[in-house]
Amino acid sequence: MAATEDKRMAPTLFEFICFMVTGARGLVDEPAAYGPFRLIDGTSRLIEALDKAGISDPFAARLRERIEEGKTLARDDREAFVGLIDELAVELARELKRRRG
Amino acid sequence: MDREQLLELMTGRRSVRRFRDEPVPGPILDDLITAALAAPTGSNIQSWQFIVLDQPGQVDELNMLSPGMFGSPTAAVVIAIDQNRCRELASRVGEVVGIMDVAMAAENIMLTAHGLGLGTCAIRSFHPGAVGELLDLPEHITPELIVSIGWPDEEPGQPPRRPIEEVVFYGRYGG
Repeated sequence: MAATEDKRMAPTLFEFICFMVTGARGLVDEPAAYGPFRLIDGTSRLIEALDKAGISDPFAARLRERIEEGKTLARDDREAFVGLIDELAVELARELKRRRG
Repeated sequence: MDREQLLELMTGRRSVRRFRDEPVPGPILDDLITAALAAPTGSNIQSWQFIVLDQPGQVDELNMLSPGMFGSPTAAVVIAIDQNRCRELASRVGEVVGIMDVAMAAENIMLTAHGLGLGTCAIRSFHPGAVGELLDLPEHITPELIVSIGWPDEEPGQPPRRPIEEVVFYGRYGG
């Protein structure tokens, strides 16, 4: 394998980059409500991509489970979806405090 | 300070989003807070609360919960409102007045910082619940605005402004 090929990122991470860039362009024309969904779905995809690339984190894994359980709320119950995002944000803050040295 | 210097100060402030990795000394932060506390406050209610972050790691944690914060400022002030105080002392207009007071205090911080060679940026794009959790804010103390502070590593140009005749009138609207 050529030396330059060794420096490529894991395929799953490259896929994530493709998702983000194409998603950004799509959102220019798509309904505004798609934006939060793309970001939360993107969060889940990033966690999965990192895990497949050998970078795992138990907290992130639990976060992804909650996102996967609740992300269809974006379509079915906007208020509940917003509530889910608010809960996840506060849990991130709690985890930040726990990880302080 | 003469008139020209004053106008230069007032019109030269820019929102800075790139900072040098250099701490802001405590006495300078004290000056910024002194200026903030001198801002007008409706009926002198002073429902504001200021949380100053200047220790390594503190601003980084805030940054993680604030999508609107760019660069790596070495200090920040989170300006919050005591909602209980607002309701008790200002009734129904309390919330609006409280936010106006926060904005005026923030502007005092930003102009004073500019005069001292610092860069700042006013940030509303953060998650209030997460920031409240991070800073151990009681439920009735709500974060309203963040001012990032640091030694600027850029000199932004003036952003486009609407023509003065579109926004300034004398005597009556359209006059």
